[in-house]
Amino acid sequence: MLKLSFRALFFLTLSASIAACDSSSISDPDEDFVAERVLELPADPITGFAPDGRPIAAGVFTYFSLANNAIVANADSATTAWDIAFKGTTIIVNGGISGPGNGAAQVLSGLFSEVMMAPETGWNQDGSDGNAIPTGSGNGWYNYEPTTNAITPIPGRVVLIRTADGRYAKISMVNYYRGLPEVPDPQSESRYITFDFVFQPDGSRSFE
Amino acid sequence: MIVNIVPLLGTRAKVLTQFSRSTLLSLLIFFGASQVWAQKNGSAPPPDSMWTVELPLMVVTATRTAISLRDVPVPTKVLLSKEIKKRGVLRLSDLLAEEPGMLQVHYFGAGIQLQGFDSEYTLILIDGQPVIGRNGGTLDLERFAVSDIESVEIVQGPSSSLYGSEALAGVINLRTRKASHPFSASAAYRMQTNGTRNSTLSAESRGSWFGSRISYDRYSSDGFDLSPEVLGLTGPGFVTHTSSAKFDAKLNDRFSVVLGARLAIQDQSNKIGFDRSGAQLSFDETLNQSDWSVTPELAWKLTSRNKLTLVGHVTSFDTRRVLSDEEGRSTDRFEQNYRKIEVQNDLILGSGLILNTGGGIIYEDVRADRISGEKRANRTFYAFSQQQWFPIDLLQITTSARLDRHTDYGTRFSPRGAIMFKAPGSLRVRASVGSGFKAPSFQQLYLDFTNAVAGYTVIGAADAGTALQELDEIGQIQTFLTDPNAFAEIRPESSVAYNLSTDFDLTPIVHIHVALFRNNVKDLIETIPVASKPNGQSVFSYINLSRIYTQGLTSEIRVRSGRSLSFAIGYQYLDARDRDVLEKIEAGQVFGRRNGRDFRLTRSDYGGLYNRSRHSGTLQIAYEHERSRTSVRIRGTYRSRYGYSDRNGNLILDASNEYVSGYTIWNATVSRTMRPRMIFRGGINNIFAYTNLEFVPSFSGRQVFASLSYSIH
Repeated sequence: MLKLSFRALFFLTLSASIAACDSSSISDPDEDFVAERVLELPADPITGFAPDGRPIAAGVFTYFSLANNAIVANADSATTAWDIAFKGTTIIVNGGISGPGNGAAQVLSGLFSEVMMAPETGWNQDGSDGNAIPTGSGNGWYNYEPTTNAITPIPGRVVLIRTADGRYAKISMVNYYRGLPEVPDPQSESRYITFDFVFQPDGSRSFE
Repeated sequence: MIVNIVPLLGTRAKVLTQFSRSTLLSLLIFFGASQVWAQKNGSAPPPDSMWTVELPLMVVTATRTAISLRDVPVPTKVLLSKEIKKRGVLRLSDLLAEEPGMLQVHYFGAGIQLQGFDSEYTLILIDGQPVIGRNGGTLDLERFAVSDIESVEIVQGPSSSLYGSEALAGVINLRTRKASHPFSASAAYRMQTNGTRNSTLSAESRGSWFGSRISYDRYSSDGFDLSPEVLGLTGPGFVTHTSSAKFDAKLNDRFSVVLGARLAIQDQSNKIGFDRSGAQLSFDETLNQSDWSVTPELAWKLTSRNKLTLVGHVTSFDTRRVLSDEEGRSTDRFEQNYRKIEVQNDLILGSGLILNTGGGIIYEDVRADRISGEKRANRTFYAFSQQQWFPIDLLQITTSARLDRHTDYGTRFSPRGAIMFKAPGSLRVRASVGSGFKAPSFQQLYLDFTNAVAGYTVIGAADAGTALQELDEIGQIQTFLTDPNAFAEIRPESSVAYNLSTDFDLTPIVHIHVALFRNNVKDLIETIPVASKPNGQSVFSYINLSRIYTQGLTSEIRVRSGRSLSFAIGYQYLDARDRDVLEKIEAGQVFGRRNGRDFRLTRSDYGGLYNRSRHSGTLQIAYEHERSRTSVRIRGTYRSRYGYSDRNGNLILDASNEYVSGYTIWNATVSRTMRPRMIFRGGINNIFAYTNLEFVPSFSGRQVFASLSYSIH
């Protein structure tokens, strides 16, 4: 019953989303958690092709507030209104060299549902020697398959976020393509990020 | 003729046991041109049953000395030219693919997977000398015509204790023909689907002390296309010429010389289209490849029990790939030279011991556009020793070891011990423990390549330390991901292997061969990112990283029904896994994704290494009709599903959509001797026209052929 309603909701949001993003609550009868799903958030999508075939994109981040579960306008990029931002496979946090906030992140290996507490240590901020969420295949949240050019979230990677105002969230990256293909084909539109997250509004580390 | 362990040898073996042991020992070593001798002096074998061999078949690869196939200490298989011809097989790749435990794999050419190892771990020899010219690790076995070979010997399990690098999964030795008739010449022509043509010419002459043989093989095809809507052919057209010559002379009772030479040239052209995100680009692609070798050999019989052999081997491989369009052309060139001088002494000691000792020097150099410094050279010094003990009639012990000292990766010691139990009947039990190794490839040592479009860089391990420092000095390094000093020492990939096999006659007409193997492999060289560049891309290099194992069972049952019908069924069970992945699974650190949900993988979810079929099998049916002088060969090969590539982001084989479905290929050939010297042959390869454009594009569908050959002597 829950699955059915989720599916209905999924299609509703899919049809309602016009190059923007929507979110919905998902829950699984087998597991004891409720996560918000952000569906197909545009992460600097491709707008055209250069004469030599290289893709062209605007090169801008899409800013997102986990606290409000909403996209934040680019005009507010120098404020603490956002927590994380996406551009292609790159994810930045509102802290360090990326923003004025107290944001930080770390990537854990494990199951999303099993991460019950945000760790006390291990937090990184974006710096000149790299981002808190590392870029590159296999380093952070995704693997890149050179023969098919497919970007696939690594199963069992949980991205933990300290928000701009110092609260905690956990993220499970779901897909990098429109339509959430299990295996993308060459026609799949990339740079549309779907992720599930749990945000703890009370400021504690607990996700229960 | 396929002979593994020939049951009818029993009769002959009884004769042999009447000789004194030392006579037997000298036979073992100095049988020399045993094939020729056998054919000339022995009673002629009855026409063409797969089984009947009256004389002991001698093999040379497993011990670097001539020894009877029955007495060879490690599992060895021999394919003889007569049977190869009756199968109507043209290239070595197709011949080996029909053998149990040998799977044809395609990666920059046709290679053979042996004991679950990729093709780069099998050493390929021609007359005992290594063949060079690997592309992406694969030595393309389609380069080798089988028209002029006497036999192919396949030794399973590592032989690095005698041959050094690459002899990790096994050794395949092509033995070319030596002149045996006073005068003889032959010609053959074959036509096949897709405009595939093969013509062969050979001539030989043997006098009282001098023999010479020359041969030529031309193999060409128009290519084939499984996807006409895409620009270019799936399998491009080509022309391949192979010429070889062999001269041998017996100067006197003590000295004899052999000179072998080979030249092969392959030209290939195709069109390639790229759909680069909507922009259509098209190129003409040509590939010109050549290899040649010259091998002089001098044998000196010091006494009847002491022999010295001096061999030189000079060989070169050159490949040039040109991509061109209206705007220009780009050339990718690779040239490899190999020079070796080697000496070997074979000594029979009175007390049932044969001692084989040798050593040599190998000079290698490589020139390539993507090699740092454009030309690199290295040297290997080596020495080996083998002891063949015959303590009692039931037992034979062979120990060997080799030391290789290489300028770039240091010293490597490879021992092997083998024991064989010979029961009075047909039963043989062979057990061996040995180590094998594979030196880092030129690419892994010296590559210097930056992808202009994507912006990443790959550096060979021999230069990684200094190259990273240089990149850092010009501001091309943002972060080091690994300590650059860790790349100073790259080691060969190495294995410890255990092989246990048995051969016996279950009944007079049923012969059984069962072999178990286990290979523990460590220090497999992998590409890893070592630094990140300011453009966000990585610098990659090579490092000794993975540990794997392969284990399994290979078996073969041969049945002869009457004089005219025989068949053989082969089966292999293979289990090949990454040990580090297994450890991570045990620790609960590996995850999969099913229906969009992550879960923790268990051991049973893990499918092991990619491109390994758990089950594979072969069937060979041979039928001889004496009155009409007709023979029929039907062969089938099967492999079960195997992993292709990762789909769910965890990089290991676990989900069902990461597999390629299994398949079966059937081939049939009919031969008929029309007149005494004229043979007609016709057949169909891939009878049921299996194709798989996406995952196995090497299969072109059904192939029909007809050939005629004529010889005089």
